Amino acid sequence: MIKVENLYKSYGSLQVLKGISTEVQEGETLAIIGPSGSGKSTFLRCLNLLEVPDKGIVTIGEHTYDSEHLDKKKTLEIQRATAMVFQNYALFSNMTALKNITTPLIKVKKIPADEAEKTARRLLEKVGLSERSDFYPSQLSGGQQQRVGIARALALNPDVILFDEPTSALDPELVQGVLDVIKEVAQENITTIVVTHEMSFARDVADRVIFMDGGVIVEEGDPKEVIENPKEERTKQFLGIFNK
Amino acid sequence: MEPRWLRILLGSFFKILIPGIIYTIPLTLVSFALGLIIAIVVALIRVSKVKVLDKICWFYVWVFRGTPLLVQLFVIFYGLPNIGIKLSALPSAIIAFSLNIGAYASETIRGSILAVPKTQKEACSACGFTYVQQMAYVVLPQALKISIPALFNSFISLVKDTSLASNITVTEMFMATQRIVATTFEPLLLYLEVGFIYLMFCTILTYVQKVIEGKLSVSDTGTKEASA
Repeated sequence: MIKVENLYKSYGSLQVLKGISTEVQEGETLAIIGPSGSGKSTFLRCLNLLEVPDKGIVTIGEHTYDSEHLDKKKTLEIQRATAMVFQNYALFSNMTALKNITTPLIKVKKIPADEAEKTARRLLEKVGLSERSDFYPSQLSGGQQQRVGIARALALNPDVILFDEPTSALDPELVQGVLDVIKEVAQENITTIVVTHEMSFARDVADRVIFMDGGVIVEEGDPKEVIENPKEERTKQFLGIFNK
Repeated sequence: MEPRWLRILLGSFFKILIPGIIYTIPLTLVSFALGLIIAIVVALIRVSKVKVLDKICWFYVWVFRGTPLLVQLFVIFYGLPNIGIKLSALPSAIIAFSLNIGAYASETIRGSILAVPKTQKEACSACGFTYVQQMAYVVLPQALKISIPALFNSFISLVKDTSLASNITVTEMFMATQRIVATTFEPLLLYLEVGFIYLMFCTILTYVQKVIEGKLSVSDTGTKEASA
C-alpha cells in the first residue's frame, strides 16, 4: 500500500506540488492525468526520490520516509522498493536487453546469475522480445526498448511500478504494443501508478484516476466517472477535446 | 656495391628498432596503463567531490598540466636525490610519464563522465543502484567509451614523448639514434629514420584505435539490423 501525505515541492520560487495527499491500495492501478506542467511527473519522481520533496511523508509498503529527514540509506531503501519505467526508456545503453534486466537483479537484489538470467528470459518472452535479448538498446525500436524497460521494472518485483508517460515518446503505431503490456501488468495485481496522456487507456485500464493541475489534485475517482463525466470545471475543460 | 647512405640506413635500422622494442614500447605501455589508472581514480574523486581529496587532485592536475614534461623528468631524476630520493632512470621516466598522462587523461575522463546522459544515472537510482554501482556498471563504462578518441590522442603523444627520456639517460630509440649519429655524421638520414620508426609505431596504434572503436560501436550504431 502507498500513502502520500501533504507532499510539497518547489524549484526556486516555482511551486510544483502544493500539498498532494492520496493513497493507493495494493494491486491497484492508479492513472494520473493532467496538462503539461501540472506536476504529475514531479509527483511520480518524488515517490522514488529522483526528486526530493520539500515536505511530506510517503509510505511505500513497509518503508516510510519523511522528506525533511532523508539520508542516503533511506533513499536507497525507497528506491529499492520501487521501480520506474521512463518516458525516454532509459535503458542502460552499454548493456544488451538481457543484461539490462539481469544486472540490477544480480547487483541490487543479489540474485545468483543463472537465476537472474532465467527471470530475465522469462520476462523478455512475456513482453514479446525473447529473440532480441542480445540486442543493445540502440538496435531496438522505441517500442521494443520500452518493453525491455517494463521487463526490467517487473524483474525487480517492487512494491510499486511507476510509469512516467511510458508511451509519449513513441510512434503512434508502437503505442498500442506497449499499452498492451502495461495493461497486462496492471491486471496482475501489481501496484502501478501511471502518468499518462492516453485518456482511453486511463479510462479502460486504471482502477482509479487522478486529475492534476497547478500542483494539486483537482479531481479523483472512478476512471469512467472522472473522464466521461468530470465534475470540476477545470477537468471538463481539459477533457473537453477528448470527450467531443 | 650498395651506396653509403643505404648501408648506413640498413646498418642502423635494427640498432634503433631494438631499443625501441626494449625501451620505448614498454615505457609507453607501462606509463600509459599506470596513467590511466591514476586518471580514472582522479576523475572519480573529482566528479564525486570527495572532500579534501578533491582539492588534492585539483592541485595535482594543475601542476602536471601546467609544467613541461621535460621539467618533470628532470625534477624526478636529477632533483629528488637532493632530498634523499634516488631513483634510477627508467623508474623515474615511468613515474614522470604516468603522472603526466594521469593529469591529462583525468580531465578527459571527467568530461566524459559528465557527458553520460542524466537519464542513465536516474535509471540507476530507479533500479536501486548505490552510487558506486552506478559508476562501476553504467557511468564509467559509457564514459570510457566516449573517452577513447581523446585517450588515444594522449597515448600517441606519449609514444613520441618517451624520446624525452633520453635526457635522463634512458637508452631508448632516440638516444640510440643520437649515438649512431655521433659515429656516422649522418644526422639527416638517421633522424629521418628514427622519425619513420616513431611514425610506424603510431600508425599501429591508430589502427588499434580503429579496431577498438569498431568493436565498441556495436552498442550505438548496431551491426544487427534494428527492426520494429
